[in-house]
Amino acid sequence: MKKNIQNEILKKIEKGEVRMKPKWQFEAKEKGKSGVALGTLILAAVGIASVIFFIKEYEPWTLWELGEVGKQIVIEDFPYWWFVVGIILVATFTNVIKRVGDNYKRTEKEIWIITIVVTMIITAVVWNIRKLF
Amino acid sequence: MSQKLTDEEVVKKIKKGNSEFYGVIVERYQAPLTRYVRRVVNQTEEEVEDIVQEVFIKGYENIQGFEESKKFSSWIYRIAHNLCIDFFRKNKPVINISEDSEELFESNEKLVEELAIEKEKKEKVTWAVESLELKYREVVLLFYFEEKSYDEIGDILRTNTSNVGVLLLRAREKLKKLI
Repeated sequence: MKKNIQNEILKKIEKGEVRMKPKWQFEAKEKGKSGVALGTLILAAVGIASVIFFIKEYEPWTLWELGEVGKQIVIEDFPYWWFVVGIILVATFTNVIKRVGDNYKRTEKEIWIITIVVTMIITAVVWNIRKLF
Repeated sequence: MSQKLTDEEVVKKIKKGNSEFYGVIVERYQAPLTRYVRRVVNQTEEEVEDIVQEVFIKGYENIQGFEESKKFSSWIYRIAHNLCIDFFRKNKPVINISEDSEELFESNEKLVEELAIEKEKKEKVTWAVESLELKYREVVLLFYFEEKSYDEIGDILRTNTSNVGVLLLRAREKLKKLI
């Protein structure tokens, strides 16, 4: 039997069975996504900054020339976790950012360019903040 | 009077609390959404009606999230698309040739023989479209059957226009092979 969808829906609205969600919920959701994206990138920047710090402080290429002991120091002290976490978080950022606003309209290439540029900027900020302490 | 208002103007009124205007939206979109959902899910009329009703319920609940600067039709089709995906997650699709595709092909007064050939062609096209994977089927349905632009399809499927073009090209190739 064919339903009268229009009447059924209007009745449900009248009875209060179907209600509009408040606008703030949508705004909060959108801001939440941007916040998560920014948070992931800040953490990723910390990871990248640690790797840069290691390279700057240890100068692995000079240690490598020292032979077995130097190689062992590089292998043992390299911040693997930060390196892996940094990569995962950057990938997560690209995934989250696609879902923010109209970003789905951007191509994969555009998303990656934005990711790289923003990552570089935030990493530079984190790097400079580190110098303060 | 409400018939003269654009969808976006009607939505503005609904957002301000004039819920009765939602009837205008349902009236405008019931037929196209039913047609679209029927072709995507390819299920019984009852199931299609349930999905369409759910689309309007979800539409009303989330209407405050609709940005008036955008096209309402893309927004409501997006809800329909999501509910069709949900439907597939919950149920296995049943292949059932729909008679509705008849509307697509306008036929003037033709000879019986020509009509028979035409009918055979239509059935072949319908079968081929229904045999496509969901992502290709949707893009074909939206472009050819619902006459949506690349931009609108991008908004509905949440993808960029170049990807819509790629999907459509691949769908056409698959259809050629099938037909």
